[in-house]
Amino acid sequence: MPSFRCATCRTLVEYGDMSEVPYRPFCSQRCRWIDLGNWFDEEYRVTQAIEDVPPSPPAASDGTDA
Amino acid sequence: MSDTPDNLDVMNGAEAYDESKIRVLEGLEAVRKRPSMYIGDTGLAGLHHLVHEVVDNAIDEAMAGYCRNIVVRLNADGSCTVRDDGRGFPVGPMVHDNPELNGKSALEVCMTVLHAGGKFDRDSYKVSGGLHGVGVSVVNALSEWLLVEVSRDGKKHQMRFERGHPTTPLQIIGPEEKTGTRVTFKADAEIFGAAELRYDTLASRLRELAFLNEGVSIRAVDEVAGKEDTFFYADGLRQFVQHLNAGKEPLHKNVICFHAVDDEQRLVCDVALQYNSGFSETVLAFANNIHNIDGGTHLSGFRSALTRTMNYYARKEGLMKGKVVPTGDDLREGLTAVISVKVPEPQFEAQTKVRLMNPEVGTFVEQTINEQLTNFLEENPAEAKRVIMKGVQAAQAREAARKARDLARKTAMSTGGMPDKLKDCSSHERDTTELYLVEGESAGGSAKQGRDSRFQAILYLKGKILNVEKARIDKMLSHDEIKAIISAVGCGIGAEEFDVSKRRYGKIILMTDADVDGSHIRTLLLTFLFRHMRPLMDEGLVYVAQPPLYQIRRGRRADYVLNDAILNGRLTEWGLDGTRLELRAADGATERTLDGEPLAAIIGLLENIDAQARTLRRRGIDLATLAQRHRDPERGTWPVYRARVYRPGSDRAIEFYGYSDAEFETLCQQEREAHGEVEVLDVAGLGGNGSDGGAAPHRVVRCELSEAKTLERLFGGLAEHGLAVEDFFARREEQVTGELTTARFVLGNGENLTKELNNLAEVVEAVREFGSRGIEIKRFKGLGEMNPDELWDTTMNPEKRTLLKVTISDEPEDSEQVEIDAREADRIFSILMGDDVEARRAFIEANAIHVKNLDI
Repeated sequence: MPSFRCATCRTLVEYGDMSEVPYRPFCSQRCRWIDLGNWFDEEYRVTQAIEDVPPSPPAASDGTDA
Repeated sequence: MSDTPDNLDVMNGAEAYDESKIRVLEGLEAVRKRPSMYIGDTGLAGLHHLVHEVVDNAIDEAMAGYCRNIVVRLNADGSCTVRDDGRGFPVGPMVHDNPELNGKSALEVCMTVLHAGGKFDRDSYKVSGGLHGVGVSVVNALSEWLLVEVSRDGKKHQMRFERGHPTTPLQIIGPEEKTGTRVTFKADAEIFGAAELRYDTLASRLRELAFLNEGVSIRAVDEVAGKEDTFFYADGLRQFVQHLNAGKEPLHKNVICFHAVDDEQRLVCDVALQYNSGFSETVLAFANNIHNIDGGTHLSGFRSALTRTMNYYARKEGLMKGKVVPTGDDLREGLTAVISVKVPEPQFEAQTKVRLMNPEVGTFVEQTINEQLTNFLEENPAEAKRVIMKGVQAAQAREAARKARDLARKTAMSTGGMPDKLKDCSSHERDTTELYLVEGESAGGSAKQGRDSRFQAILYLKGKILNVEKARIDKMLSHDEIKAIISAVGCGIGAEEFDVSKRRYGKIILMTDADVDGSHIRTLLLTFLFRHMRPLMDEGLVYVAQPPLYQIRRGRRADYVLNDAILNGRLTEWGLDGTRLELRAADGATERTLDGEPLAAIIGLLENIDAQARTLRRRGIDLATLAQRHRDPERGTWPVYRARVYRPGSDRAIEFYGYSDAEFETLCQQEREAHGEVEVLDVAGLGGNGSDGGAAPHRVVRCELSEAKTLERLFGGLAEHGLAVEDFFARREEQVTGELTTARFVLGNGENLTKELNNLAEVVEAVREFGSRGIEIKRFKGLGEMNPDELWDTTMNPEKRTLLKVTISDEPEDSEQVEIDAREADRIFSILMGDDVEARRAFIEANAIHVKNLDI
């Protein structure tokens, strides 16, 4: 059965058909309102560190080979 | 026997005809004349009140601690019997100032005189219910007949009445050791017509009484229908709340119970409550077992204490979010509670007792809840947080709904309510118009000048940028921008209010910079549209513009390129034009020359090898090392897996590369034999180091190298051109003289252009270098760097542009659309927006947007 987690409360919502989940990606009107409130309140951000973390160096091969 | 002379008359003789007697007589006559004044009405409710009135007497005995069992039976002849095992109604003669009452049995007085009975005396019963406080005499007056049996003092007494008048005097009918009272009555059809007592109505009230009077067993029997229930609750109100919450999902396991007694005022307060995950409020208030439908002082005391205590705690514990303070309504969402107070002298509003008026009860309940709820919250922080967060969320939702309604009203009120940042188009023909959501003001400026203002509207959005603690940059859509989007789109906001048919444009087109910042803003916009304007996506009205990343100027011709892959393709193509690759021997003599088709084919293979090398690098594997140390030179095969073995007692991995599943099985078998049971894990290994799980004592972590087969094929292809694997990794050595040995590979074009190369791996880059000669490449850092004409030509002109359509689907299709997999999208957005810092960082490092096919 397909399912998704409510974007607000993280409840797992299972459904058989799209029409059963009118509030998707939310479980309820309530959770949708809360999310809308978060947008109004500027809660959602994309974050980026100022110093970019360099990619991790390749693994050192320090063992014996097969 | 309705013509029986009035009993009082008979007993008091001729001399006792005075006003006090008249009052008594008129008392019961008045009940029969205007029954509604006493029992509310003469319909079903009034009829059932008769039973309640009798049951209340039994409950009074129970509340006083003398009665444990009550039976209510609907008899076959339409009469009703109420039996209790209390002390038995007093039957002794009364001493009374009123000569008509003096000397009569207490039983008879109570049955025939209004407002007579133990419940009116503080000393008999501390508190008393009594639905109307008018006493059982009303029942008597409205009954065709009534038979009362009293067992006390070792004897069984009996007395019979008709329509309120005694027909059989009080008499002893036998010995009886038990005590109790039994009243059987048949409601008078002259008063109630054909109305009949209903079992279910009675049973539900009896269940309620059993909840309210814990430890009392109430049995209901319907002789006609053969129904029977016994209501007994040792844990009264707690079970009442559980009963009310049945089938709902409780927010906390235990029902919370409060109890307090005020000895001085003789008040008792009991409250039980439990929150469920629903949104409705069920709070029942009782005073002396009477359900006060309109509440009253006890209910308002409870409510104000709940609101104040919860908000105080929330503020103290920092659970409050923003400036929105939960109201009482917010804090009572999902609340199920029963308040039961016992009051010696209850005051009710009106006859119907729907509201309790005693001010001292309000104060008492409020104090009790303040004190005991505070203690509960302090002692149960986990439950407290869960309950309060529900209220806080309710407040948030309410506030958001209010803002949404406000906004909807404002935009509906005036046609000029459009945001300042919107540059609208002149056409109002909905299906052919386009709204561009453009990031950045300079880009907006170019877009405004470059657009076709007849049908293209521009809304500037400035992704608000915050420098948080100088450590990171947060981008967001500001409050005003969200509002502007909602207004410009014109469909309203909120599930019910949103109406896709009211949209003001045929297409909504997101146009953001082709860099990381732009993709972040685009992600925010897509998330917002997906969550709150989904019908737009469902109907395929949302698009993403594709501004070019590069401008390439070759001579006088300008060309625009969408991304790196296309740019590299062009450079390679140009670089190959007239270019040759010479293979030279150690003495510098040319062995052979490759050009044209064969060279192009080789470049294709090399580019593909580069791609494989990148994937390997993400697994922490260097292609050169793999080729030189782990490739089987005899057969030309590449390892298909890498196994890292973690042995007990060592936190260093030993690496093995192998060529078949059988080989891997052998490895595991050997490990098992040498070092004991082993755990086998499969990983993609794309995270570089440190993703092999925690420290289990003995583990083999297998990473499948899906590149093996491809590499085999690619190097096989090179071999067909006479190129060896070694050619790919060769290095020129330094000679004693300090000069390098002769280059094996030399790339040349025409007479003057040559480039010596170490190995094949450097060929691709060199070809592109050739290709970029005489070409000016300009990278657009933002839309704003494009002049209006460029923007129109490349991105906005419907004749030339490429738009990606945003669709939502459960099964992503293979097409040039921005697919938001419904299930995936939310996960992606949650990672972006959520608190999981690691996940978010990983996401952003993986370069922003995951929306499928966005960066072709």
